Amino acid sequence: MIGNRNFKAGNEALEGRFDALMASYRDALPDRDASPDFMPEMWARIDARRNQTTFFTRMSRALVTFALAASVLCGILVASSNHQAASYFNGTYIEVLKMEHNLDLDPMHPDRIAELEQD
Amino acid sequence: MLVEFELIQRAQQGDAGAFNQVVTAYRRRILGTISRLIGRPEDVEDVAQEVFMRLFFSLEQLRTAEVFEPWLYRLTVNASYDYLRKSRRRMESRMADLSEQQVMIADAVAGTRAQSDEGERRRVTDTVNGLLSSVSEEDRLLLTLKEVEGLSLKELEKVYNVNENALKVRLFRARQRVLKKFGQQEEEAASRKTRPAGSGGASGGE
Repeated sequence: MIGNRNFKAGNEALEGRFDALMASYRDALPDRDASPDFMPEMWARIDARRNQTTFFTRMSRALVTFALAASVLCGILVASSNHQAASYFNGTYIEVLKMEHNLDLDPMHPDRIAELEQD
Repeated sequence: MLVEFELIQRAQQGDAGAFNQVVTAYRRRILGTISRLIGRPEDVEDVAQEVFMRLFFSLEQLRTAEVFEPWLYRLTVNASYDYLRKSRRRMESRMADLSEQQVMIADAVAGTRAQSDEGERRRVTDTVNGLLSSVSEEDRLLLTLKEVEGLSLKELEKVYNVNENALKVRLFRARQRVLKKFGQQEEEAASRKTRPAGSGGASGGE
């Protein structure tokens, strides 16, 4: 019981000294005035950040514009290839066979064959 | 509040003169708070400029007058926290260098009053900085706001946006940790005092 009371008293004394130390810390570092350069330096920082923000805003706008243009272009390309594919898949069997046949024959150049026959 | 809300509203609308007036009204208090939060007078203006820069870019979000000061405190705490985190390594090495010095400081705090005011001030700030290094940066800031700045729990609640009970628990734990270190320092100082001259070994400072 006495030991406990002594411990409590010791702890309270320690807390008291700690509070006094914190109070002297407060007094050791009072509110203070800024140097004459404070405001110009602060505005320089604000301007630098503002310029940086403007630069990034411009960059991001340019990127968004480029991405939009690229996606429109891709859309057009996909649409045109879809159109070709549609005619391939929606055509009749004969039409498709004809298309395939033409593709097979095309590199043979019948005119040149005729010339060769004449020779 | 140190300024009229109308002035803040003008600053919100981009009036640089009004913003200058707001800064001028608060900078002394903010500089003082930052110096006590970070404990390094040489970097105080740098952190304060960061605070006011953040204020400038976030001012448009402010809606009511009553939240301005807690909000400015929050910006101050956040900027100080960022500073402390960045300089943690530097601080740690500084504290390691100070460990021997702190023992002597504790001696001085306990009794010696023959030193100059400036020396005394440095000793006190170094001692407190050393003690506060035993807790995290967040707890250091919280403890300083409560114990040194004298903010009430209600005010801290507004600054931190958390409930009072959570703050109480956190403050209690941080205070206990710092008190424990303070007690250890005092014990070391007392044992140094009672140790006979010549048996102090290499740490006698000769």
